[in-house]
Amino acid sequence: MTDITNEIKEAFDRYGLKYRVQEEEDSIRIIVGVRIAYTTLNLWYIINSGDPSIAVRVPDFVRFKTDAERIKMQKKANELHQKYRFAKFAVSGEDQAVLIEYDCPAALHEQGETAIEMFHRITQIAEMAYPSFMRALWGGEEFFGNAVFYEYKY
Amino acid sequence: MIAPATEAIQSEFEKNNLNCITEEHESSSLVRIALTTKTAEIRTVFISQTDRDETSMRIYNIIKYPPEKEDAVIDALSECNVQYRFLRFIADTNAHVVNAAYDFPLNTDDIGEAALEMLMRAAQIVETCYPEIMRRLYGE
Repeated sequence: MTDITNEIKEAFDRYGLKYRVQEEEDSIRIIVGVRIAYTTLNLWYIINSGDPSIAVRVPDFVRFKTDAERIKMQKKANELHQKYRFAKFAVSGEDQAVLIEYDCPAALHEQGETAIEMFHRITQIAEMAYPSFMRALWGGEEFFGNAVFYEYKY
Repeated sequence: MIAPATEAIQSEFEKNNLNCITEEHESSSLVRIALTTKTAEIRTVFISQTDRDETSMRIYNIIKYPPEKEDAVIDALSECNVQYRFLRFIADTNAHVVNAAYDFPLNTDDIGEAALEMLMRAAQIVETCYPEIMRRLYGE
């Protein structure tokens, strides 16, 4: 657990990423805060004791309230799964939120570089996906409060 | 051209007595492997690009469903996606089939080992989720 954590921290230091470390009894969480278009994210890199695979999570990516909204989020997540690779959009009824998830294989030696790669991939996907989720929640409205969602061309 | 990743995956599978076949395409190559579990037959493909070090795992046609059951399928798949790590279940809304997907990080040096690990994980997850999805589709 410590080796993987140190590898990730070294990679983040090399790339100048600011992070904080939370230590629990059986796991370590490295948290990176990032601002993307329209919102901010926290990326969690979770390393569990006895498990060499890294879990990358973006909790509370989008929050919803009602069952009807949950169904909209599920359909949007399914649509985006057909569009974007890597990221899984997990729609949790219990947490009333959409989470972004990615799990690195345990049989992976370059943990630090993979953590950096996932940082880039997840933040890019999140930036493109967020307006889609918002439009789905707000019934196709192009406006959310005072924010206007533009189509990003990549 | 056969990608180095495809060769590594094939080698690892054969080392573990898993029968697989490889295919060569213009800009990619792939390894096909079929596993039979207690509940489902899982046909998995590992697709590797020849011009860059990218490999993806796809499991196609896990379940075929009638179009009118799509909402129930998406709901069931969503629960599986929350409950299980690694794999993402996807309802292909054009073909009305359930697929599963996983993408490997770039430059995975130990891609053979990683592919074997993911194959085993995927088999376990699909084996568990398959009856649950069928129950939601067709009742007890």
